[in-house]
Amino acid sequence: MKLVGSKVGNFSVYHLENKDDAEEFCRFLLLPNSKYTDSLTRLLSSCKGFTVIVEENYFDKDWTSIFSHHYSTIYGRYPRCVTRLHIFQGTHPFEILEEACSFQSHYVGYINIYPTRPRVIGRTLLSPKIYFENPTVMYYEEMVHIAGNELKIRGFPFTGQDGKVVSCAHVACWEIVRYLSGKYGYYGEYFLSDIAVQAEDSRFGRPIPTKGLNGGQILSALRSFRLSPTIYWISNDLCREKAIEYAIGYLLSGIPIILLGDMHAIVGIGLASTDPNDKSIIVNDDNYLPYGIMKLDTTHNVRFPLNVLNGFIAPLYHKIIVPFETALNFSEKFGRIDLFGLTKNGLNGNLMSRTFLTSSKSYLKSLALRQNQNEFERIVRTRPLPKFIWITEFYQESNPFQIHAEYLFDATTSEHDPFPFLYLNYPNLIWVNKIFDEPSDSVCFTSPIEKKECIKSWEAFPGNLFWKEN
Amino acid sequence: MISWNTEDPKPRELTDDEIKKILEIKANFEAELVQFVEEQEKIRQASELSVRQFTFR
Repeated sequence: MKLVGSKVGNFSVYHLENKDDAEEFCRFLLLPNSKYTDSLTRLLSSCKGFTVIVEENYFDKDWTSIFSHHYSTIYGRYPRCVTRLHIFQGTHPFEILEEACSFQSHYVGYINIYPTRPRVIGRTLLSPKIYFENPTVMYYEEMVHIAGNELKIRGFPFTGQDGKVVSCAHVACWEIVRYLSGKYGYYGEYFLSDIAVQAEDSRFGRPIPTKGLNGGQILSALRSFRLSPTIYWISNDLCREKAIEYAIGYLLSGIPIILLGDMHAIVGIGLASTDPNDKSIIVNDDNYLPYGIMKLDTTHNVRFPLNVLNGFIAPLYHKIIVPFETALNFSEKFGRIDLFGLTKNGLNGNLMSRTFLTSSKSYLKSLALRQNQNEFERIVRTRPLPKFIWITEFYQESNPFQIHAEYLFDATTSEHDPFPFLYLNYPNLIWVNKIFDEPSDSVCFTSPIEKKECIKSWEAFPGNLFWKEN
Repeated sequence: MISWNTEDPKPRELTDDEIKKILEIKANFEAELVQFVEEQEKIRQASELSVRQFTFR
Protein backbone atom coordinates (compact mmCIF):
# COMPACT_ATOMS: atom_id res chain seq x y z
CA MET A 1 0.00 0.00 0.00
CA LYS A 2 1.22 3.44 -0.80
CA LEU A 3 0.39 6.71 0.95
CA VAL A 4 -0.15 9.30 -1.79
CA GLY A 5 0.98 12.80 -0.88
CA SER A 6 0.78 13.74 2.77
CA LYS A 7 -1.90 13.39 5.41
CA VAL A 8 -4.12 16.50 5.44
CA GLY A 9 -6.25 17.06 8.52
CA ASN A 10 -8.40 13.96 8.93
CA PHE A 11 -7.76 12.75 5.40
CA SER A 12 -5.14 10.57 3.74
CA VAL A 13 -5.08 8.95 0.30
CA TYR A 14 -3.82 5.41 -0.40
CA HIS A 15 -3.19 3.41 -3.55
CA LEU A 16 -3.77 -0.32 -3.41
CA GLU A 17 -2.41 -2.02 -6.50
CA ASN A 18 -2.25 -5.72 -5.66
CA LYS A 19 -3.25 -8.38 -3.15
CA ASP A 20 -0.28 -7.69 -0.87
CA ASP A 21 -1.29 -4.01 -0.67
CA ALA A 22 -4.86 -4.97 0.14
CA GLU A 23 -3.77 -7.37 2.89
CA GLU A 24 -1.43 -4.83 4.43
CA PHE A 25 -4.12 -2.13 4.31
CA CYS A 26 -6.75 -4.35 5.95
CA ARG A 27 -4.35 -5.43 8.71
CA PHE A 28 -3.54 -1.77 9.28
CA LEU A 29 -7.22 -0.81 9.50
CA LEU A 30 -8.99 -3.72 11.02
CA LEU A 31 -6.32 -5.53 13.01
CA PRO A 32 -5.75 -9.15 11.96
CA ASN A 33 -8.32 -10.75 14.26
CA SER A 34 -11.42 -9.10 12.76
CA LYS A 35 -13.69 -11.55 10.98
CA TYR A 36 -14.05 -9.02 8.19
CA THR A 37 -10.35 -8.84 7.28
CA ASP A 38 -10.58 -11.59 4.66
CA SER A 39 -13.72 -10.17 3.00
CA LEU A 40 -12.29 -6.68 2.79
CA THR A 41 -8.99 -8.00 1.47
CA ARG A 42 -10.82 -9.97 -1.22
CA LEU A 43 -12.78 -6.88 -2.28
CA LEU A 44 -9.76 -4.61 -2.42
CA SER A 45 -7.70 -7.11 -4.39
CA SER A 46 -10.51 -7.83 -6.88
CA CYS A 47 -9.60 -5.02 -9.25
CA LYS A 48 -6.38 -3.79 -10.86
CA GLY A 49 -6.20 -0.93 -8.43
CA PHE A 50 -8.13 1.13 -5.93
CA THR A 51 -7.67 4.58 -4.47
CA VAL A 52 -8.92 4.80 -0.91
CA ILE A 53 -9.49 8.10 0.85
CA VAL A 54 -9.30 7.42 4.59
CA GLU A 55 -11.27 9.88 6.71
CA GLU A 56 -10.54 9.72 10.44
CA ASN A 57 -12.84 11.10 13.16
CA TYR A 58 -16.00 10.71 11.12
CA PHE A 59 -19.26 11.06 13.09
CA ASP A 60 -21.40 8.08 12.07
CA LYS A 61 -25.04 8.34 13.20
CA ASP A 62 -25.42 4.60 13.72
CA TRP A 63 -22.19 4.26 15.70
CA THR A 64 -23.21 7.30 17.75
CA SER A 65 -26.51 5.54 18.52
CA ILE A 66 -24.90 2.35 19.89
CA PHE A 67 -22.08 4.37 21.46
CA SER A 68 -24.54 6.33 23.59
CA HIS A 69 -26.73 3.25 24.15
CA HIS A 70 -23.87 1.10 25.45
CA TYR A 71 -20.20 1.88 24.73
CA SER A 72 -20.16 5.26 26.45
CA THR A 73 -21.64 3.74 29.60
CA ILE A 74 -18.97 1.15 30.39
CA TYR A 75 -15.50 1.38 31.95
CA GLY A 76 -13.48 0.66 28.78
CA ARG A 77 -12.93 3.76 26.63
CA TYR A 78 -14.19 3.77 23.07
CA PRO A 79 -13.85 6.63 20.57
CA ARG A 80 -16.94 8.60 19.63
CA CYS A 81 -15.89 8.69 15.99
CA VAL A 82 -15.20 6.10 13.33
CA THR A 83 -12.88 5.70 10.36
CA ARG A 84 -14.52 6.10 6.98
CA LEU A 85 -13.07 4.67 3.76
CA HIS A 86 -14.10 6.18 0.44
CA ILE A 87 -13.26 3.76 -2.35
CA PHE A 88 -12.55 4.70 -5.98
CA GLN A 89 -11.79 2.27 -8.77
CA GLY A 90 -8.39 2.89 -10.37
CA THR A 91 -5.33 4.67 -9.00
CA HIS A 92 -5.74 8.44 -9.04
CA PRO A 93 -3.47 11.36 -8.05
CA PHE A 94 -3.62 13.16 -4.72
CA GLU A 95 -5.88 15.81 -6.31
CA ILE A 96 -8.75 13.36 -5.87
CA LEU A 97 -9.05 14.70 -2.33
CA GLU A 98 -9.50 18.29 -3.48
CA GLU A 99 -11.75 17.51 -6.44
CA ALA A 100 -13.48 14.28 -5.48
CA CYS A 101 -16.62 15.11 -7.48
CA SER A 102 -14.59 15.03 -10.72
CA PHE A 103 -14.00 11.34 -9.93
CA GLN A 104 -17.72 10.50 -9.50
CA SER A 105 -17.65 7.83 -12.23
CA HIS A 106 -14.92 5.93 -10.31
CA TYR A 107 -16.58 6.19 -6.89
CA VAL A 108 -17.87 2.82 -5.63
CA GLY A 109 -18.95 3.74 -2.13
CA TYR A 110 -17.89 3.93 1.50
CA ILE A 111 -17.16 1.56 4.37
CA ASN A 112 -17.19 2.80 7.97
CA ILE A 113 -14.96 0.97 10.43
CA TYR A 114 -16.33 0.95 14.00
CA PRO A 115 -13.79 1.17 16.83
CA THR A 116 -15.02 -1.86 18.80
CA ARG A 117 -12.57 -4.51 19.99
CA PRO A 118 -12.02 -6.24 17.60
CA ARG A 119 -12.94 -3.62 15.03
CA VAL A 120 -15.96 -4.34 12.86
CA ILE A 121 -17.30 -3.07 9.58
CA GLY A 122 -20.14 -0.66 10.31
CA ARG A 123 -22.49 1.28 8.07
CA THR A 124 -21.48 0.64 4.49
CA LEU A 125 -22.92 1.61 1.14
CA LEU A 126 -21.19 0.01 -1.83
CA SER A 127 -22.32 0.02 -5.43
CA PRO A 128 -23.39 -3.44 -6.64
CA LYS A 129 -21.67 -2.49 -9.91
CA ILE A 130 -18.39 -3.63 -8.28
CA TYR A 131 -19.67 -7.20 -8.51
CA PHE A 132 -22.32 -7.25 -11.25
CA GLU A 133 -22.38 -5.71 -14.71
CA ASN A 134 -26.20 -5.38 -14.74
CA PRO A 135 -27.21 -5.61 -11.11
CA THR A 136 -30.73 -6.77 -10.31
CA VAL A 137 -30.79 -5.63 -6.70
CA MET A 138 -32.78 -3.11 -4.69
CA TYR A 139 -30.98 0.15 -4.07
CA TYR A 140 -31.36 3.72 -2.91
CA GLU A 141 -29.26 6.78 -3.52
CA GLU A 142 -27.34 8.69 -0.89
CA MET A 143 -25.29 11.88 -1.09
CA VAL A 144 -21.82 11.63 0.40
CA HIS A 145 -19.44 14.46 1.34
CA ILE A 146 -15.67 14.28 1.02
CA ALA A 147 -13.85 17.40 2.16
CA GLY A 148 -16.60 19.62 0.80
CA ASN A 149 -17.20 17.66 -2.39
CA GLU A 150 -20.58 16.06 -2.88
CA LEU A 151 -20.78 12.64 -4.54
CA LYS A 152 -23.66 10.24 -4.93
CA ILE A 153 -23.69 6.54 -4.34
CA ARG A 154 -26.35 3.90 -4.89
CA GLY A 155 -26.63 0.53 -3.24
CA PHE A 156 -28.29 -1.48 -0.50
CA PRO A 157 -27.26 -0.53 3.06
CA PHE A 158 -25.08 -2.92 5.01
CA THR A 159 -23.57 -3.13 8.46
CA GLY A 160 -21.70 -5.73 10.46
CA GLN A 161 -22.49 -6.85 14.00
CA ASP A 162 -20.46 -6.14 17.12
CA GLY A 163 -21.88 -9.19 18.93
CA LYS A 164 -22.55 -7.18 22.10
CA VAL A 165 -25.43 -4.85 21.26
CA VAL A 166 -26.16 -5.94 17.72
CA SER A 167 -26.69 -9.46 16.30
CA CYS A 168 -27.45 -10.67 12.78
CA ALA A 169 -31.18 -10.32 13.46
CA HIS A 170 -30.76 -6.67 14.54
CA VAL A 171 -28.68 -6.06 11.41
CA ALA A 172 -31.32 -7.65 9.17
CA CYS A 173 -34.06 -5.39 10.60
CA TRP A 174 -31.82 -2.31 10.39
CA GLU A 175 -30.82 -2.93 6.74
CA ILE A 176 -34.46 -3.27 5.68
CA VAL A 177 -35.66 -0.24 7.61
CA ARG A 178 -32.73 1.90 6.46
CA TYR A 179 -33.30 0.89 2.83
CA LEU A 180 -37.00 1.77 3.06
CA SER A 181 -36.37 5.11 4.77
CA GLY A 182 -33.68 5.96 2.20
CA LYS A 183 -35.99 5.08 -0.68
CA TYR A 184 -39.44 6.17 0.47
CA GLY A 185 -40.44 9.22 2.50
CA TYR A 186 -43.16 7.26 4.32
CA TYR A 187 -40.72 5.39 6.58
CA GLY A 188 -38.76 7.09 9.33
CA GLU A 189 -35.04 6.63 9.83
CA TYR A 190 -34.14 4.29 12.67
CA PHE A 191 -30.76 3.48 14.18
CA LEU A 192 -29.16 0.29 15.42
CA SER A 193 -29.92 1.21 19.02
CA ASP A 194 -33.63 1.67 18.15
CA ILE A 195 -33.76 -1.97 17.04
CA ALA A 196 -32.00 -3.02 20.26
CA VAL A 197 -34.50 -1.03 22.34
CA GLN A 198 -37.44 -2.64 20.52
CA ALA A 199 -36.02 -6.06 21.34
CA GLU A 200 -35.71 -5.10 25.02
CA ASP A 201 -39.42 -4.33 25.01
CA SER A 202 -40.15 -7.96 24.22
CA ARG A 203 -38.80 -9.03 27.63
CA PHE A 204 -36.91 -11.99 26.23
CA GLY A 205 -33.33 -12.68 27.24
CA ARG A 206 -30.71 -10.12 28.25
CA PRO A 207 -30.38 -7.21 25.86
CA ILE A 208 -26.62 -6.91 26.44
CA PRO A 209 -24.70 -9.01 25.63
CA THR A 210 -27.24 -9.80 22.96
CA LYS A 211 -28.21 -13.41 22.40
CA GLY A 212 -29.87 -12.46 19.13
CA LEU A 213 -33.58 -12.04 18.49
CA ASN A 214 -36.20 -14.72 18.20
CA GLY A 215 -38.68 -14.71 15.32
CA GLY A 216 -41.36 -13.02 17.43
CA GLN A 217 -39.01 -10.19 18.37
CA ILE A 218 -38.05 -9.64 14.72
CA LEU A 219 -41.73 -9.43 13.74
CA SER A 220 -42.50 -7.12 16.63
CA ALA A 221 -39.56 -4.82 15.79
CA LEU A 222 -40.64 -4.61 12.13
CA ARG A 223 -44.24 -3.84 13.14
CA SER A 224 -43.04 -0.99 15.34
CA PHE A 225 -41.35 0.55 12.27
CA ARG A 226 -44.68 0.87 10.36
CA LEU A 227 -44.32 -2.42 8.49
CA SER A 228 -46.75 -5.30 8.24
CA PRO A 229 -44.52 -8.40 8.10
CA THR A 230 -45.72 -11.81 6.98
CA ILE A 231 -43.84 -15.01 7.75
CA TYR A 232 -43.29 -18.25 5.85
CA TRP A 233 -41.83 -21.14 7.87
CA ILE A 234 -41.00 -24.46 6.24
CA SER A 235 -43.13 -27.28 7.65
CA ASN A 236 -45.33 -30.17 6.50
CA ASP A 237 -47.74 -27.54 5.14
CA LEU A 238 -45.15 -25.43 3.33
CA CYS A 239 -42.40 -27.24 1.45
CA ARG A 240 -39.01 -25.62 0.83
CA GLU A 241 -39.58 -25.46 -2.94
CA LYS A 242 -42.77 -23.42 -2.45
CA ALA A 243 -41.10 -21.18 0.14
CA ILE A 244 -38.25 -20.44 -2.31
CA GLU A 245 -40.81 -19.68 -5.05
CA TYR A 246 -42.58 -17.23 -2.72
CA ALA A 247 -39.28 -15.67 -1.62
CA ILE A 248 -38.31 -15.07 -5.25
CA GLY A 249 -41.78 -13.62 -5.93
CA TYR A 250 -41.27 -11.02 -3.18
CA LEU A 251 -37.75 -10.19 -4.39
CA LEU A 252 -39.04 -9.76 -7.93
CA SER A 253 -41.55 -7.35 -6.38
CA GLY A 254 -38.75 -5.22 -4.93
CA ILE A 255 -39.45 -6.26 -1.34
CA PRO A 256 -36.33 -7.14 0.68
CA ILE A 257 -36.83 -10.25 2.84
CA ILE A 258 -35.20 -11.72 5.93
CA LEU A 259 -34.00 -15.24 5.13
CA LEU A 260 -33.87 -17.47 8.20
CA GLY A 261 -31.38 -20.31 8.43
CA ASP A 262 -30.13 -22.37 11.36
CA MET A 263 -29.77 -19.65 14.05
CA HIS A 264 -28.75 -17.10 11.42
CA ALA A 265 -30.68 -14.33 9.64
CA ILE A 266 -29.60 -12.55 6.45
CA VAL A 267 -31.30 -10.18 4.03
CA GLY A 268 -32.37 -11.12 0.49
CA ILE A 269 -31.98 -8.01 -1.67
CA GLY A 270 -32.17 -9.14 -5.28
CA LEU A 271 -31.82 -11.87 -7.86
CA ALA A 272 -28.51 -12.88 -9.38
CA SER A 273 -29.93 -13.08 -12.90
CA THR A 274 -32.91 -12.07 -15.01
CA ASP A 275 -33.23 -15.68 -16.20
CA PRO A 276 -36.52 -16.95 -14.69
CA ASN A 277 -34.99 -20.42 -14.25
CA ASP A 278 -32.07 -19.15 -12.18
CA LYS A 279 -32.98 -19.41 -8.49
CA SER A 280 -29.92 -17.55 -7.15
CA ILE A 281 -30.57 -14.80 -4.61
CA ILE A 282 -28.34 -11.81 -3.86
CA VAL A 283 -28.02 -11.36 -0.11
CA ASN A 284 -26.35 -9.31 2.59
CA ASP A 285 -24.83 -11.59 5.22
CA ASP A 286 -23.34 -9.60 8.08
CA ASN A 287 -20.43 -12.04 8.36
CA TYR A 288 -19.08 -10.88 4.99
CA LEU A 289 -19.24 -7.78 2.82
CA PRO A 290 -22.52 -7.09 0.94
CA TYR A 291 -23.83 -8.74 -2.24
CA GLY A 292 -23.19 -12.41 -1.53
CA ILE A 293 -24.85 -15.03 -3.72
CA MET A 294 -27.04 -17.77 -2.31
CA LYS A 295 -27.75 -20.66 -4.65
CA LEU A 296 -29.64 -23.87 -4.01
CA ASP A 297 -26.60 -25.79 -2.78
CA THR A 298 -23.65 -23.41 -3.06
CA THR A 299 -22.85 -19.98 -1.67
CA HIS A 300 -20.54 -17.04 -2.18
CA ASN A 301 -20.06 -14.71 0.81
CA VAL A 302 -23.06 -16.23 2.59
CA ARG A 303 -23.11 -18.63 5.48
CA PHE A 304 -25.88 -20.98 4.25
CA PRO A 305 -27.36 -22.10 0.89
CA LEU A 306 -31.04 -22.10 -0.08
CA ASN A 307 -31.47 -25.84 0.50
CA VAL A 308 -31.11 -25.32 4.27
CA LEU A 309 -33.44 -22.33 4.40
CA ASN A 310 -35.92 -22.65 7.28
CA GLY A 311 -38.18 -19.78 6.35
CA PHE A 312 -38.37 -16.09 5.59
CA ILE A 313 -40.09 -12.88 6.64
CA ALA A 314 -41.50 -10.46 4.07
CA PRO A 315 -41.92 -6.98 5.61
CA LEU A 316 -44.84 -5.59 3.64
CA TYR A 317 -46.22 -2.07 3.43
CA HIS A 318 -49.37 -2.04 5.56
CA LYS A 319 -51.70 -1.46 2.59
CA ILE A 320 -50.49 -4.59 0.77
CA ILE A 321 -53.24 -6.91 1.94
CA VAL A 322 -53.08 -9.69 -0.65
CA PRO A 323 -49.93 -11.78 -0.11
CA PHE A 324 -47.93 -13.41 -2.89
CA GLU A 325 -49.45 -16.90 -2.60
CA THR A 326 -53.01 -15.56 -2.95
CA ALA A 327 -52.07 -13.47 -6.00
CA LEU A 328 -50.39 -16.53 -7.52
CA ASN A 329 -53.48 -18.62 -6.81
CA PHE A 330 -55.71 -16.08 -8.63
CA SER A 331 -53.47 -15.82 -11.65
CA GLU A 332 -53.10 -19.59 -11.98
CA LYS A 333 -56.89 -19.98 -11.91
CA PHE A 334 -57.51 -17.25 -14.46
CA GLY A 335 -54.74 -18.61 -16.63
CA ARG A 336 -56.26 -22.09 -16.57
CA ILE A 337 -59.76 -20.88 -17.39
CA ASP A 338 -58.62 -18.72 -20.30
CA LEU A 339 -62.01 -17.00 -20.45
CA PHE A 340 -61.50 -15.02 -23.62
CA GLY A 341 -59.51 -17.60 -25.51
CA LEU A 342 -55.86 -16.66 -25.32
CA THR A 343 -55.31 -20.04 -26.88
CA LYS A 344 -57.24 -18.88 -29.96
CA ASN A 345 -54.34 -16.56 -30.70
CA GLY A 346 -52.02 -19.48 -31.36
CA LEU A 347 -50.26 -19.14 -28.01
CA ASN A 348 -51.42 -22.34 -26.40
CA GLY A 349 -49.09 -24.83 -24.87
CA ASN A 350 -45.87 -23.19 -23.90
CA LEU A 351 -46.89 -20.03 -22.09
CA MET A 352 -45.01 -19.44 -18.86
CA SER A 353 -45.93 -16.83 -16.27
CA ARG A 354 -44.39 -14.68 -13.57
CA THR A 355 -46.26 -12.86 -10.82
CA PHE A 356 -44.94 -9.84 -8.97
CA LEU A 357 -46.08 -6.76 -7.11
CA THR A 358 -45.37 -3.18 -8.04
CA SER A 359 -46.63 0.27 -7.26
CA SER A 360 -49.12 1.70 -9.71
CA LYS A 361 -46.73 4.64 -10.14
CA SER A 362 -43.93 2.37 -11.45
CA TYR A 363 -46.37 0.43 -13.61
CA LEU A 364 -47.86 3.56 -15.20
CA LYS A 365 -44.36 4.86 -15.95
CA SER A 366 -43.59 1.61 -17.75
CA LEU A 367 -46.86 1.83 -19.73
CA ALA A 368 -45.95 5.31 -20.93
CA LEU A 369 -42.69 3.91 -22.32
CA ARG A 370 -44.26 1.00 -24.21
CA GLN A 371 -43.59 1.08 -27.95
CA ASN A 372 -47.02 0.10 -29.14
CA GLN A 373 -49.62 2.24 -27.34
CA ASN A 374 -53.09 0.78 -27.91
CA GLU A 375 -56.49 0.86 -26.19
CA PHE A 376 -55.09 -0.85 -23.09
CA GLU A 377 -52.44 1.79 -22.34
CA ARG A 378 -54.93 4.57 -23.05
CA ILE A 379 -57.53 3.15 -20.63
CA VAL A 380 -55.14 2.24 -17.80
CA ARG A 381 -53.05 5.42 -17.98
CA THR A 382 -56.11 7.63 -17.74
CA ARG A 383 -57.96 5.94 -14.88
CA PRO A 384 -57.23 5.47 -11.18
CA LEU A 385 -55.33 2.44 -9.89
CA PRO A 386 -54.77 1.22 -6.32
CA LYS A 387 -51.42 2.10 -4.72
CA PHE A 388 -50.11 -1.45 -5.24
CA ILE A 389 -50.97 -4.03 -7.87
CA TRP A 390 -50.03 -7.64 -8.48
CA ILE A 391 -49.18 -8.35 -12.10
CA THR A 392 -48.99 -11.68 -13.89
CA GLU A 393 -47.19 -11.65 -17.22
CA PHE A 394 -47.46 -14.52 -19.70
CA TYR A 395 -44.52 -15.18 -22.01
CA GLN A 396 -43.04 -17.90 -24.14
CA GLU A 397 -39.98 -19.68 -22.77
CA SER A 398 -37.94 -18.64 -25.80
CA ASN A 399 -38.36 -14.93 -24.93
CA PRO A 400 -39.25 -14.05 -21.32
CA PHE A 401 -39.21 -10.31 -22.10
CA GLN A 402 -42.01 -10.28 -24.72
CA ILE A 403 -45.43 -10.56 -23.12
CA HIS A 404 -48.52 -12.11 -24.71
CA ALA A 405 -51.04 -11.43 -21.93
CA GLU A 406 -51.07 -9.73 -18.54
CA TYR A 407 -53.39 -9.65 -15.55
CA LEU A 408 -53.54 -6.80 -13.08
CA PHE A 409 -54.86 -7.52 -9.56
CA ASP A 410 -55.64 -5.15 -6.73
CA ALA A 411 -53.09 -5.84 -3.94
CA THR A 412 -54.97 -3.63 -1.49
CA THR A 413 -58.29 -5.50 -1.62
CA SER A 414 -59.52 -8.11 0.84
CA GLU A 415 -58.00 -11.57 0.58
CA HIS A 416 -61.60 -12.81 0.28
CA ASP A 417 -62.38 -10.78 -2.85
CA PRO A 418 -63.24 -13.47 -5.41
CA PHE A 419 -62.67 -11.18 -8.39
CA PRO A 420 -59.74 -8.92 -7.44
CA PHE A 421 -58.54 -8.39 -10.99
CA LEU A 422 -58.53 -4.88 -12.43
CA TYR A 423 -57.60 -5.51 -16.05
CA LEU A 424 -56.88 -8.49 -18.23
CA ASN A 425 -54.88 -7.50 -21.28
CA TYR A 426 -55.01 -9.97 -24.16
CA PRO A 427 -53.61 -9.57 -27.69
CA ASN A 428 -57.08 -8.88 -29.09
CA LEU A 429 -59.14 -7.56 -26.17
CA ILE A 430 -59.17 -5.95 -22.75
CA TRP A 431 -61.38 -6.92 -19.87
CA VAL A 432 -61.96 -4.23 -17.27
CA ASN A 433 -63.24 -4.78 -13.74
CA LYS A 434 -64.39 -2.28 -11.11
CA ILE A 435 -62.94 0.54 -13.10
CA PHE A 436 -64.70 3.23 -11.10
CA ASP A 437 -64.26 1.34 -7.84
CA GLU A 438 -67.95 1.46 -6.95
CA PRO A 439 -68.77 -0.30 -3.69
CA SER A 440 -71.02 -3.15 -4.69
CA ASP A 441 -71.61 -6.75 -3.72
CA SER A 442 -72.23 -7.75 -7.28
CA VAL A 443 -69.66 -8.45 -9.92
CA CYS A 444 -69.40 -5.10 -11.66
CA PHE A 445 -67.05 -5.73 -14.55
CA THR A 446 -67.74 -4.20 -17.91
CA SER A 447 -67.93 -6.06 -21.16
CA PRO A 448 -64.69 -6.74 -22.99
CA ILE A 449 -63.24 -4.10 -25.28
CA GLU A 450 -62.03 -5.42 -28.59
CA LYS A 451 -58.75 -3.90 -29.78
CA LYS A 452 -58.78 -2.40 -33.24
CA GLU A 453 -55.60 -4.22 -34.02
CA CYS A 454 -54.39 -7.51 -32.53
CA ILE A 455 -51.10 -6.87 -30.70
CA LYS A 456 -49.33 -10.22 -30.53
CA SER A 457 -46.80 -9.22 -27.87
CA TRP A 458 -45.36 -6.24 -26.00
CA GLU A 459 -42.43 -5.40 -23.73
CA ALA A 460 -42.31 -6.89 -20.24
CA PHE A 461 -42.40 -4.61 -17.21
CA PRO A 462 -38.73 -3.63 -16.76
CA GLY A 463 -38.89 -4.86 -13.18
CA ASN A 464 -38.60 -3.53 -9.69
CA LEU A 465 -34.93 -4.56 -9.64
CA PHE A 466 -34.03 -2.69 -12.81
CA TRP A 467 -30.74 -0.75 -12.47
CA LYS A 468 -30.98 2.72 -14.01
CA GLU A 469 -27.67 4.20 -15.13
CA ASN A 470 -27.01 7.80 -14.12
CA MET B 1 -50.58 3.48 -32.18
CA ILE B 2 -54.08 4.82 -31.43
CA SER B 3 -54.99 8.45 -31.05
CA TRP B 4 -56.05 9.56 -27.58
CA ASN B 5 -58.01 12.44 -28.97
CA THR B 6 -61.08 10.33 -29.76
CA GLU B 7 -63.99 8.97 -27.76
CA ASP B 8 -63.29 6.10 -25.35
CA PRO B 9 -63.43 2.70 -27.05
CA LYS B 10 -66.84 1.08 -26.66
CA PRO B 11 -67.08 -2.35 -25.02
CA ARG B 12 -68.92 -5.08 -26.87
CA GLU B 13 -71.76 -7.04 -25.25
CA LEU B 14 -70.87 -10.19 -23.35
CA THR B 15 -72.20 -13.28 -25.06
CA ASP B 16 -74.61 -15.56 -23.17
CA ASP B 17 -71.91 -18.17 -23.10
CA GLU B 18 -69.41 -15.73 -21.58
CA ILE B 19 -71.89 -14.56 -18.93
CA LYS B 20 -72.66 -18.16 -18.00
CA LYS B 21 -68.95 -18.96 -17.75
CA ILE B 22 -68.24 -15.87 -15.64
CA LEU B 23 -71.00 -16.63 -13.15
CA GLU B 24 -69.79 -20.22 -12.91
CA ILE B 25 -66.24 -19.05 -12.28
CA LYS B 26 -67.40 -16.56 -9.68
CA ALA B 27 -69.30 -19.23 -7.75
CA ASN B 28 -66.36 -21.65 -7.89
CA PHE B 29 -63.82 -18.97 -7.04
CA GLU B 30 -65.69 -17.84 -3.96
CA ALA B 31 -65.86 -21.34 -2.49
CA GLU B 32 -62.26 -22.20 -3.37
CA LEU B 33 -60.93 -18.87 -2.22
CA VAL B 34 -62.45 -19.05 1.24
CA GLN B 35 -60.88 -22.48 1.69
CA PHE B 36 -57.51 -21.35 0.31
CA VAL B 37 -57.32 -18.21 2.46
CA GLU B 38 -58.32 -20.14 5.59
CA GLU B 39 -55.63 -22.76 4.91
CA GLN B 40 -52.99 -20.08 4.34
CA GLU B 41 -54.01 -18.28 7.52
CA LYS B 42 -53.59 -21.49 9.53
CA ILE B 43 -50.13 -22.01 7.98
CA ARG B 44 -49.18 -18.41 8.76
CA GLN B 45 -50.31 -18.68 12.39
CA ALA B 46 -48.39 -21.94 12.82
CA SER B 47 -45.34 -20.31 11.20
CA GLU B 48 -45.52 -17.37 13.57
CA LEU B 49 -45.70 -19.69 16.59
CA SER B 50 -42.82 -21.87 15.31
CA VAL B 51 -40.47 -19.01 14.55
CA ARG B 52 -40.81 -17.64 18.10
CA GLN B 53 -38.96 -20.71 19.34
CA PHE B 54 -35.83 -19.95 17.32
CA THR B 55 -33.21 -17.33 18.01
CA PHE B 56 -31.16 -15.75 15.24
CA ARG B 57 -27.75 -14.38 16.14
